[in-house]
Amino acid sequence: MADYIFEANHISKTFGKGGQRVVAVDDISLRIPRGKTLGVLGESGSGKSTLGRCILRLIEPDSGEIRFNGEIISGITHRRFRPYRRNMQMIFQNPFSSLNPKMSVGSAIEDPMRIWGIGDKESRRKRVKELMDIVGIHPRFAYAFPYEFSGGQQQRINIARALALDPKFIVCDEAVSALDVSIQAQIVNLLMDLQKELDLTYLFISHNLGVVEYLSDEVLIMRNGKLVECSTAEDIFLNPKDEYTRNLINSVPSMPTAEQLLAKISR
Amino acid sequence: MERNDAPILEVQDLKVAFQTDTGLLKAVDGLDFKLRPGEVLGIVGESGSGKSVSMLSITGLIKKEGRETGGKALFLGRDLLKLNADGLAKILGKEIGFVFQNPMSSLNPTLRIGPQIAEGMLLHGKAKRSEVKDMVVELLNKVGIREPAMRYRAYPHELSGGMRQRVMIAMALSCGPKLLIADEPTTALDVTVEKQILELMMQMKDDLGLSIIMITHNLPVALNYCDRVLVLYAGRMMEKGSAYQLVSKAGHPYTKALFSSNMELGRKGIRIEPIKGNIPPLTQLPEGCRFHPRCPAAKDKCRSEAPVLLQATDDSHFVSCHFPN
Repeated sequence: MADYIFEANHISKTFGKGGQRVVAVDDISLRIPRGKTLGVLGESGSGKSTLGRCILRLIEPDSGEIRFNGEIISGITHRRFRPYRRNMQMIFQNPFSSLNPKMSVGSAIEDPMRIWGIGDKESRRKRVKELMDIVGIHPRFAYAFPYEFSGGQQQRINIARALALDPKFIVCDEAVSALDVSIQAQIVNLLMDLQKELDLTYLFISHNLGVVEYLSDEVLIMRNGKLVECSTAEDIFLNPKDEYTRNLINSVPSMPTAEQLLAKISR
Repeated sequence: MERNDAPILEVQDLKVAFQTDTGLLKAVDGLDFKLRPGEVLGIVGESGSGKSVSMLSITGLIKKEGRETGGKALFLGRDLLKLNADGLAKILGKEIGFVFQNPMSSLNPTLRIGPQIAEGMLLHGKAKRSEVKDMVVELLNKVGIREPAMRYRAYPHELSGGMRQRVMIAMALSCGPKLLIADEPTTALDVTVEKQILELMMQMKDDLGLSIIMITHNLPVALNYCDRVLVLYAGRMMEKGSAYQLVSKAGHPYTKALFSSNMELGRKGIRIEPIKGNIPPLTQLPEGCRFHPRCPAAKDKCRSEAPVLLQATDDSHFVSCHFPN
């Protein structure tokens, strides 16, 4: 087995032509060790979501090579790519719009297994219940519809669906950004627990520095499609090399201390 | 601090409810606060806490049909809840300015930004037609838009998100309001831009002697920029106090839980203990304290009896909890 479950080398993607040309991803390389999390941080328009989509081939990159478990998965036909697909899943930002409003959540979680022809109806139902249990939704809600759940519960259901095919690698694109503060921590902890239990590897795309620091082993900073720096989370947040990274970290409002607030009042 | 001045806005026991198919939805239940001149008040809460609804209701921006409102909202002595549409129109945009979360959907995409700002000034008689352009350009300059004379003719889509929010602030300040209500003003912005916009708002407050109500879900933002903070949960006030009081002696378990589940920098390796459970739907609120199903310290009394807001550590700090500490 390769050391890195996922590798992408020199990925580029350009949209539009002539004066309208936008280089969304400009020669980005990354690799993620098995069972670890690579956080991708960037402001809006930095190309972080395009990068996430390119490496799953949801958007075809213009150039670059992608390897899964050491095997090249870029430039091959979709028919040959398909067996790899089930090992890579994605969790999106908006938990409600990523679920079909007309489908019960149980069927939504079962859907990937049905498409792949895994098991029979009964065994799939059983697996749906297991998955719901894993993500902390009581299996008796399998027949309920997405609108009946809160945002945090909907995101748990999306996670259950992403896990249905036993993937090895999951791209989380702003997976907690639409959630309330008290729910964000629940979902982040759930993702981290699942990683340990199921030996998952994550690419975690976010603009939220606190969340990325909390759950990432390594962090890649992007700006205008280009790589700014990539290192271990400790390195990036405690010892940032680049001016842009430093500015980003300093802009995050931190919880003021009582002493700081006292000083402000007496001023 | 001008502690003894008459308040700009005094809200007393504000209640807002909506008739829905699934029953009466109590969005705000008993909001009380005084906003003094030059003060920045933060209203902090998660979705469904009533933070936006309360401000939109007192300013009539949520239509009266289907809305049941109780209590008082005294703006410089006049009860906003008793004014009709004409009466409110004379105050809104003139004495009370608004900044909303999404500047792109708050600005008219078919109008150049300059004339868009000028519209309100002409309507409220704050400028003559002959001089309004110069005044708008001056205003754009003041909110930090470079080459303001050229930007006067720009359309909203030609500006970045941060620039658009600066335009929104210019518009809100164009008639010289006494009160600025900012509803999640930086939530849609990148962190580097967020800091610039918050600092611009604080500078405008000092320059123009504004009072500000800032609605936000971001606790660090509220504590860094607001003098006093209200913490709302499911339509009720949980705690009210100065930023210092909340940081140094938060009394409500919900406030404490917000602090401990906040994902700020420097939490790596220390597992965050999140608040368990979910925010209740407002049509199915629990009996007793609304936070009790998620509260780690809930006792029998919390399940049956709703606590009232009581004075805590000193006369400006209030907590609504049977067992505060």
